[in-house]
Parts: sequence; C-alpha cells; structure tokens
Amino acid sequence: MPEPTVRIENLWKAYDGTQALQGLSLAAFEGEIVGLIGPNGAGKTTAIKIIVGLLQWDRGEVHVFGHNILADSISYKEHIGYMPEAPALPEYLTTSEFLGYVGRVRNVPKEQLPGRVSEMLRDFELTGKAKETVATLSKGMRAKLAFAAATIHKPQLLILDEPLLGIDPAGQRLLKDRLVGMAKQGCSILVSTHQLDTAERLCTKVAVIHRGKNVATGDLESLRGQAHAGEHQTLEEIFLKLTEEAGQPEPDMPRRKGLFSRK
Amino acid sequence: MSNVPTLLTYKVKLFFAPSYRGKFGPLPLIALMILFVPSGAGVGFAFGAYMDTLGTEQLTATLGAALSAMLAFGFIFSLGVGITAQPSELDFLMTSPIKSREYLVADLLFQLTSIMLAGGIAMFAALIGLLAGMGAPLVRAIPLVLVMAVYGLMIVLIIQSVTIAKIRYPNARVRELTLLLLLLSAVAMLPALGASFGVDFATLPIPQAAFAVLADSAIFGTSPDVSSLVVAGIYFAGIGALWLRLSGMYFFYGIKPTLSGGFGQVDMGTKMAQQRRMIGLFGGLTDKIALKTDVGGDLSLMTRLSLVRIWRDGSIVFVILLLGLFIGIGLWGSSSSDEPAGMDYNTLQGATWPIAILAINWCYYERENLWIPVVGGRSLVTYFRGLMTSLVLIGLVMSAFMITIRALIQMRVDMAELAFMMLAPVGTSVFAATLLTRVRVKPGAFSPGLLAVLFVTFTGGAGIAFSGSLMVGAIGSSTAVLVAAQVVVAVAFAIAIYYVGQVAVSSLSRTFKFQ
Repeated sequence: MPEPTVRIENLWKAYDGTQALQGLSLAAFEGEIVGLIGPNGAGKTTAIKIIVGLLQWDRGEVHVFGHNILADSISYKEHIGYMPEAPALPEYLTTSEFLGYVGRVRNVPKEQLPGRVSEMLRDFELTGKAKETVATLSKGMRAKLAFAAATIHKPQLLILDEPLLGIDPAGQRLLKDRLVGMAKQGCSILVSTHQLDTAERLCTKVAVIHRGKNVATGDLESLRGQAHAGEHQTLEEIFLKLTEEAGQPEPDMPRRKGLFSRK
Repeated sequence: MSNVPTLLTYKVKLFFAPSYRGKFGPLPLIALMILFVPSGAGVGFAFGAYMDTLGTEQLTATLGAALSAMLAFGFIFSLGVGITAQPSELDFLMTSPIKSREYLVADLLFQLTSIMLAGGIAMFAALIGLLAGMGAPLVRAIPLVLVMAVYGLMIVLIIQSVTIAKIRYPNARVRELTLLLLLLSAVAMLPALGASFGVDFATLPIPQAAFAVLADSAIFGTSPDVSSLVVAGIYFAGIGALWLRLSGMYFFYGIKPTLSGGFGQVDMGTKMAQQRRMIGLFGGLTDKIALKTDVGGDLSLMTRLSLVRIWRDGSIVFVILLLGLFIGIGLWGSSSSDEPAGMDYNTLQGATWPIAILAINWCYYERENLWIPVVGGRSLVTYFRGLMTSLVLIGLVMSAFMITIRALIQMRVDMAELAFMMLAPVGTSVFAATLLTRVRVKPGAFSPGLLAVLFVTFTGGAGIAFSGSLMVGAIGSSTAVLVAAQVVVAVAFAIAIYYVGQVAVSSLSRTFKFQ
C-alpha cells in the first residue's frame, strides 16, 4: 500500500467551545481527486485550513507526504498549492506582479519566474489583464488568478476550497480540465465543494463530512453500498441519505483526565 | 410616512448596536458621552471668555465663521456620501416598497438623533460653558439651542437636496455648483481670521450671517434683528421647498453605502470596495512604478512590496494630507515666533502620526493577505522586516521634507533638532512594525488594538526622538569637530534603533498568529 499524500487521523478542533471537527479521518493518494462534501458548518474548511497550516488543531494527527506537520510545519508547504474560498488578494498589485510575488514566495527560481508568470497568464486567459491591478478584475477572473497562483510552482498536493464559486461555465471547464490534467501527472487534489454534480463527475473519491467527521468515503459505487442506495441514485441522493442517517447526537471530545475531572 | 418609525429604529440600532454589544454593554458609549462633557464645557467656557472680550461686530464675525464652517462641512458631506445608508439598507430596505420621502425623513431624524446621542450632551455642555464664559444667564441656552437646531436642520436638508439633485440631474453640474458654494462658505470664515478684504460679511444676505446675528441676539437676550430673521426665514423656507420638491423623486439607485459600520465602527466590505475604487481610479498613474519580482533579495522584495502597496492603495494620500496639515500648522506657528520650532509637539506629530496611520491601514488592508506567505511555507520574518524598512524609508523622506522647509524658512539647521526629526519616524516605525506582529486591530474606534497602535507608536517614537536629540544636544556644537560628532552620534543612534527593531520584529514574527 503506497503512503498517502495526506493522512488525517482522528482530528478534533473546537472554536470557543463549539466542536468543528470531531474525530475526522481522511486520506488522499497520488493522482486522486478527493471531493470533500458536506453541509454548511460540517468542518470542511476547518480541515483544509489545518492541512495548509492556517489553523492549529486540538487533537489528532496530520501527515503530509508522510511527515507529521506538527514536527515540521514549514518544509512540506513547498509542495502544496492552496486556493481559499473567497481569497483575499493584494488588490494593489497587477496580475503579473501578484503571480511573480507568489512565485517568489513559493521558491520558483528567479530566472524561471517571468516565463512561468507568462505561462500562467496565458493558460488562464489573463494575458490581456497582465498590467491591470487585481482591484479591476471581475469575480471570475479573480478566481482564475487565485487558481493560477495556487499552481504556479507545480505542486504535488493541491487543496481547493470551493474553487468554482462565481466562475462562468467556460471558466469552470478550464479549471476542471486543468485539475484532471494535474491529477494524471500524479498530483493529489483535495477539493471542497457544494456542487455535487461536479463532485460526482470530477472526483475519483468523495468524502462525506458531517458534524466534523467523515461519515463515508469512497467512489460513487462504494458510497452507494455504504448508504444502501440503489444503483441509479445520484450523489445528491446518497449525500442526503448519509447525512440524515448521521444526524445522531454529537459525541463528546475525549479529554485527558486531570485534577478536576469528574471521572 | 408609516414606515418612518421602522426605518429610523433600524438605522439607529444598526449605528449604535456595535458600540454597546461589547463585554461592558452600553458603558463605553455612556463613558464616551460623559468623557467629552468636561472638555466641551471647558472649551465652551474658554471660547465664551474670549468672545466676551470682542466687540459685537467681531463676535458676529466669529459666530458667522463657525456657522460657515458647519455649512462647508455640510457641502463636503453632500459631495461625498450625502445620505447615510449602510450596505444592508441598500440590499433590503431600498429594494422594498418604501417611498423616497419616507426614507429621507427617517435619515434626517437619524442624523439629528445620532448627532444628539453621540455628541449632544457635550455640545450642550459647550453652549452652557460659552454662556458662563461670557457671563450671560444660562437660561439663554434655550433660544441659542433653538437657533442652532433650525440651522442644523437646514444644513441636513441641504445635504439631502444636493445628494438627490446629483443623482437625478447628472448633467446639471450640481457638483460644480456645490463646490462653488463650499468655496464661498470658506471665504465667509475669513473675517474671523482678520481677513475680510473690506467686505462686511455680517451685513451680507447669506444664511450663516443671518443665523449668526440671531445667535448673537439669543446670547445677549436682545430682541431678534428683523432683517436677519427675514433672511434666515427666506433661506429656510426656500431650502425646505426645494427639499419638498426633490424628496418626492426616486433616488435609491444612486446611493453609495457609507463607510461607517456603526458608531465608531468601520464596515470592512465598504472600505475594501472604496479601496478598489481608489486603486482603479489612480491605476493609470500609480502602475507606472512596477514591482519587479524577479530581482533583488527577499528583504528587498518585501520592502518594495510594502512601498508599492502604500503608493497604490491610497495610504500615501493620508501621509501627504497629514504631513501637509502639520507643516501648515507649523508654518503658521513659526511665523509668529522667532524661536526654532523643530522640536515642538507639532513637528513630533508630523513625524509620527502618518506612520501610525500607515500601520492602521496595514491592519485593515494588508493583514488578510498574509495567508500567501504563510501557506507558501515562508516564515514572516522577512515580511515584517521589509514592512519595517519601508516605514522607516517613508518616515525619513517625510522628515527630510520637513527639515528642508524649516531650513529654508529659518535659514539654519540645529543638529539636535535634525536628530529629533530623523529619529522620530525611525522610532515610530520600529514600534509600529513590532506591534503589528502581535496586535490584531478590529475596525472600530473602540478597538484596544487600534488605540495601542496609535498611542504606543506615537509615544515610543517620541521617546526615541527626545532621548536621541538630548544625547546629540549634550555634545554641543561650538566647533566643527563637535558638530561632526553630533552627526556621527545621531546616525549611529538611528542605525542602532533600526537594528534593534529588526531583531525584535524577527523574533516576534516567528510566532505570529495569522488567525
């Protein structure tokens, strides 16, 4: 069995007493496109932010490329790409300056940087906007620019939070083709989405997250089996069935026994 | 008019709720109201005592200037937002079947209510203080408040009318006319500064002069001047009629959301939209200076990134305006004195506040962009070192500008003064960048983080500047050798402060928490 690119085990995270993750476990392998689907507040974005190093978690383990990211929380990032949901972008930079800046941050060699920036602008149909500031871009163009920035260093693991939000059908097609191409070259892709039809067609594996834990994982066939669903049922029907079944009371977070523990 | 109470309640709640939903409930709001009562009364008393020494003509001119300033402020407001509407009002209220006039009445009442709630007690205290300072019976506050209330109402009607006219008649040069009236209001303030150009503004048939004479009558308890009463009445009736005509027109499509998210709060969505507009507006000019990402080291890249941001996102405008303000005040002050004023409070403010404002702007506009280096596996050490270096560079340019102006006016440069003006921005930048690695500013006047950034950077910069200039001053400047020694000490002190800052920022930014 190969080592997964990302492996999350029994992950717990609370915000001000509210449990966002309650023992989430997940794995993604080389060349897989893993869709994270779940209702609002299920914990998808929290899990993603933990993997990319923007959030600290309470309990559990996160391994990326086989390394515990708690032990080394910097070096693994060199090979990951990340596109947040509604990304904050430096409005004052031109699109080429922004990609150049991200390229420098992502350790793209200086001599390769101008060529890589031009390539990204061309691939994402932004060449005409190269000298315009981010502030002047439409929502769809901003999303394409954020996607270009997430992939400028040719990452081995790409993590996307609602990447298709606000993009027109042609733009969506462009990004989806790009994702499939990257996966074929061995890149692992973790994508959070509410678009179940997209997840059904694009993802090689889907993880249904509900109330901070993974209630089912697998390809469509496997999910049908786990949900005891018929062979013609769509991912949407399976998703609703699984999340309704999982609507039981929330478990308590395991705590260390201390001086003031009641048990 | 049945929707007016609902609209007014919504607007008042939206505006004041953020300031009393905190840990201490309405206490900060009440404290703020009470805090300004003594200062309001004090200023009013001092102003009253001053006015007591003036003759009637001068007194009318001073009151007229104050009322002209209020009118000018009204014109400025009408050139900007004009009608206060928060984004949620645009989305939900203005898309509902609400009549234009209903909304305007609610907005008018809201503006008067918010002025009274936010500063009404202090303003009343100032009026009482003014009467006390002039030795007038305090009961005269009643007619004085009445005159001021009518005048205030008239200004709000003007603001609303101009705003609607701007929207409904885009080709009618309403903006140009308003600018002209603004200019005339500013000219009407000149008599208070002793520059009347031979024109007796008090006798002109302009509203501020008429209301000033009426206010005079209220203060002295004399019967109101009939001609002034007529002039004031005509203006009020004319503006009221204009408002009645315009308020029936539909104007919701032209309203822009206000920047304020509530009393002492800032709506970040609107602020970001405003920033985008500003970047887009000056894009053709500001893009001429490009950020070359494929040259230079990491510190150079981050310094240039910060400089490009300040240049393009409008922050530089704040720096120039503040610097201009303090230089202007400084020139005014120094013209009346032969003493070198380089180390005075005004110079210190000019060398420090713009840096503090840049730090606040960074919190608002740039902090959220730090996800880029964070997820890129970069520690933020170089980023913050670059930020600090950029602030130091801007501060030094500002100081060099102020020093040049002072040198041209006074025709001499004192080394201690020079050291003071050079060290103040360096110290302020060091404190600002250090604080930014730790403080997270909420967009509001009640944010402790914001107050910390403003006052710690100012006092820190002041401390560094005073200690450095004392050190330089102690060397003496009687010989060329001593002057050379002063230069060496000043430069060495500045470099030492910069390096201490770099070490502090490097250490603190390693444990920076993005979220």
